[in-house]
Formats: sequence, C-alpha cells, structure tokens
Amino acid sequence: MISIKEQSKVKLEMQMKDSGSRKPYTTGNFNIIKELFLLGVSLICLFPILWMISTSLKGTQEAFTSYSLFPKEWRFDNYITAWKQADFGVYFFNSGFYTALTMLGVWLISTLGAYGFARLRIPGKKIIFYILIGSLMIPIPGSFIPLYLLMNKYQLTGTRIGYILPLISGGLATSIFILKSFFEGVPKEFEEAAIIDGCSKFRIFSRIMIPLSKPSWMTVLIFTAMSTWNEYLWALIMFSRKELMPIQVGLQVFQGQYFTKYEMLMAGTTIAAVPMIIIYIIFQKRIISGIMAGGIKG
Amino acid sequence: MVKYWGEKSLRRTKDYLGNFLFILPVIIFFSLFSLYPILRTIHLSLFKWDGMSPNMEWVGLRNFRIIFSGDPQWWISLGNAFKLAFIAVVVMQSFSLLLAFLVERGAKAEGLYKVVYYIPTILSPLVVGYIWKWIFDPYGGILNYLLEVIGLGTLTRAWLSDPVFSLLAVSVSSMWSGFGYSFLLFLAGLKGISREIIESAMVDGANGRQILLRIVVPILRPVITVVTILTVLGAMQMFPLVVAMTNGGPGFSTQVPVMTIYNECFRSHNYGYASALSTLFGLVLLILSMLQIEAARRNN
Repeated sequence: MISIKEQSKVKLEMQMKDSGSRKPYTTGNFNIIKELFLLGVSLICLFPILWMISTSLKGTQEAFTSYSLFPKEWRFDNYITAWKQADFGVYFFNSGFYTALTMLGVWLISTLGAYGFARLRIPGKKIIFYILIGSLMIPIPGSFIPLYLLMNKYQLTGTRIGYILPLISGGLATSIFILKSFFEGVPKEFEEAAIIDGCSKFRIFSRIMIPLSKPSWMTVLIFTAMSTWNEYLWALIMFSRKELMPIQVGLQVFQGQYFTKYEMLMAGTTIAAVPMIIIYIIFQKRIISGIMAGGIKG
Repeated sequence: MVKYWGEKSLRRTKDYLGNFLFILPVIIFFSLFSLYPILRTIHLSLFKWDGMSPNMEWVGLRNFRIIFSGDPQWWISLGNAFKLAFIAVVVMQSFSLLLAFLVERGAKAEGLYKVVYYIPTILSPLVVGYIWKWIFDPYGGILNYLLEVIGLGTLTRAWLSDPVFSLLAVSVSSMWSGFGYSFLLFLAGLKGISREIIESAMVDGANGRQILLRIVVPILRPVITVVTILTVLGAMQMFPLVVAMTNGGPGFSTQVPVMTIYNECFRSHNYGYASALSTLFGLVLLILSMLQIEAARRNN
C-alpha cells in the first residue's frame, strides 16, 4: 500500500511534468490576475519613455496642451534643431569617443591583469589583488576632489585624456574580478599544450586566452560602455567648454537654454537615450544574464 | 652547485619580471586613480584650502568640529539621503522581491518581464530625472492631468516646488529606474532555490504564503542582504537625478550629500572642508554596509 504522502508526491510530479517548462512551484494553471498585474508593471516601465518620445515630436503649444500619446503633427525638426543649433551632434560624438576609448582601455588592461593574477607566478600577487578588490568596498564618494586636483597639477583638466583615465580605472575592478574567475576555470592543459609547442606567455595570452574569454570580456565591455555613456559627475567637473562635453553634461547645458521648451528637452533626452536602448535591444540576453550571474553594477 | 643556483634564480627573476608586466598597468591605474584619491581625501580634510593659493593651511580636526557643531546644509542633505534610502528599501525593494516571487512562481511571460523591467535602469539618471520632471510638471505634466481625469483633482499640486513632495517625487523617479535591477537579482536568487524543498513543502500542504515566508525568505537572506546594501548605497549617493529634477530645491528639501560636497568644493572653494565632508560620508556608508552584513550574520 502506497502511503498518502507518496501518492501526493507522484501526483505532484505528474502535474509538474505536464506544465512543461521547469517551473519550481506552479500548480499548472496560471493566474490571470497576476499576469495582468505583471503586465501593468511593464506598462509603468514603458510609459514614461513613450511619453518622452511623444513629447519630443510635438510643438511647444501642443506639448503643454495635448495629453495624447500621439502628436498631431510630428515635429522632427525638434531633433534637427537639437542636433545642429544646440550642438547635440558634438556632444554625441564626444560621448562616443570617450566610450570607445574607455572600453579599449578597460579591455587591454583588465585582460592582461586578470590573466596575470589568475595564471602567472608573481610574488605578492595575492596581496595586491586583495587590495584591488578592497578598493571596491571602500566607498569614497568625494574622490573626485583629489582626482580633480591631480588633473589640475598636470594640466589635464578639461582635456579628453584627463577625463578618460579615471573612467578606465573605475571599470577595472569588476572587469578583473570577472575575467580572473574565468581564467581560473580554464583547464591548464590549454597552456601546457601551448608551452610544448613553444609559445611565449604573451602568445598564449593573445592567441588562446583572449579569444577563449570573449563572452566574459564582451559582457564587461557592454557594461563599461553603458556606464561611460551615462556618466555625469566627472564630466561636469572636467569640462567647461562645450566642444568637449559628453552628452550628459551637454544635456544639462541644453536644458538651461531651452528650459521652458519641454519638447526640445525631450528631444535631447531621446537622443541621449537611443544609443543605450539600441545596445540593450541587441545585447539584452547577455546583459540580463550578466546581472543575474554576478550582480554586475548596472 | 653555487653557479647552478645562481642561474636558476636569475631565470626565475626574469620570469617573475615578465609576469609582473601583465599586472603592472592595473597597478599603475589603480594606485593613481583609486588608492591615491582615498588617501588624499583624508589628508586634505585636515587642511583649509581654496584650491588656488600655494599654501594649504593646517587646521587639524577643525573641519570636523565645524561639521558637528552644525552645518545645516550638510545635515539636511544627510537626512534626505537616509530618507531616500529608507523609502527605497521599504518600498522599492519589497516590491521587487514580490515581483520576483510572482514571476518565478509561474508567469507566462517571464522572458518579457525580465527584459522590460530592466529598461528604466539603462537610462542615465539625468535622462530619468528630466523625464520625470516633465511628468511632474504642474502645467503640462501628465501626472496632474491623470489625477484630474480619474477624479482625484484635489491631489494635484506643484510637486517639485513643494517642500515635502519634492523629495517623494525624487524618490519615485529613482525607484522607477532602480527596481528592475533588484528584481533581476532577486529572481536569480529565487532560481537557485532547490526544487525538492519546495516540493516537499507543497506535499506537506503548505500554501504559497507559507512557502514564501517560512522557506524562501530565509534561504534568500544573503541575497537580500547584498541587494539591501546596494540599494542603500545607491540611494544615498544619488546625484544627477536630483540635479535634473530639482537641483536640491526648494530650499534644501531635496539636497543630497554628493551635491553638498560638490558645492562646497567647486562653488565655495573649500577644498579641505569638502574633503572632510567626503571622508565623513564615506565613513557613514562604510558603517551602514558593515551593520547590514553584521545584522545578516546575526540572523543566521
């Protein structure tokens, strides 16, 4: 005689097999109210963004009087004004430039460093690594003060390179942490085979390790790109000339010029947001699994 | 014998040197741009300096004494930071946890929710601030319009000019942009819970709520701790969002610590004092994080 408990367990297992996907504790039927609620939250996420785009395509009058999501006449000239007259083209280029260079810097330095920490014999590397990670723990919110003074000392304030260097440094800790874990998981046979073939350390690194770790560093680079593009405070401190400003600071300057014209401001924010949205659409799988795997700071 | 020894250690040293080159760039960058600022901030906080004159005036702990004897702008901004952090944890985080639980418990469109909930987070805080500034606008803003439409017209107001509601408005925008991140972290945590435990609980007749409270939450404790620390740190260091929405106003009702530090340094040119504020603030954040870690450890 099978016990009641056994019977229930078998029943439960059969139900779970029926429900198809590996859900931990569903009873097979989904709750429509719950689904509507979750969909409602989705709408709350999307609506402000749609509203931003909608406003950006309206004329000044319409922006303040019409509450429809669809503009009567689509004013694309808001964007043209923003791009040409209000220098958004310049800001956009600058942001792209800083983002690209920061990504490059982080990629070069962190792949080298992570491999070094993971696989090469270096005296004291454990201590150095712990200090590196420790810096992640100590939040010094005003570190921009000494950084500014440092840049000032070497006449690097208001220069592109002065802006980029600390940003590269900021992206290193997480990047090295992730890549080091990856490299530590690579079977030693790879390197041993290469050494037998006569490869130098650097060759092993560039020909084998970098291609192998591509998924890891791609994820890191995507996050670096996003945080550089969205960076504000350091750019605010470094740049006073419009020609060098990245898009976030430019957006603030823009807001100062057009502060009653929300349709212009929304055009500006849309321009600032579009690259991030595009990156997200392309890389969403990678981004989401990156966060869920290790809680990378979004 | 001695000659052999010498050769071997020469080769090893060259080996070490070559290896060291791999981590040299990291060490340079990190020392200059991460380690040095931490130390210099603490050092600077003991001086009075306007950033321009050739001499810095040593004042010891006087900056700290000034802070503690009453710097209203600082203490209000710190209070605001605590309020923002509190609201974020109590409202946003529990909401994210609830969502994660609902989604994991069998939602048809799980993939969709994961993607959509995180979208607000990819926008820069400044962009988020401007979007919500427009939503809260007293004249053209959609919030007041919607309130009127659903008959709650008496609730309309100039949100961002109101000394009380301005901070709440800032909080709402930041929670809108932040909840997706905690949601994903909680979802990841939930997915790590072993199926057998849940199954046997269900077989024993436990309902959804009991499973949530008695089994899931305790297992999730470490995840909850990490998320809480991140939420608190994020809320307390808020800056661009506030600049966009209210710039600290009206008065100091939305002033935040980073803003105060920035103003003291670059507007009032008190580099030493700003560094002191910064050191103090860093200490507060550190203590908060450690308290949370300790509280989590106690609960186990």
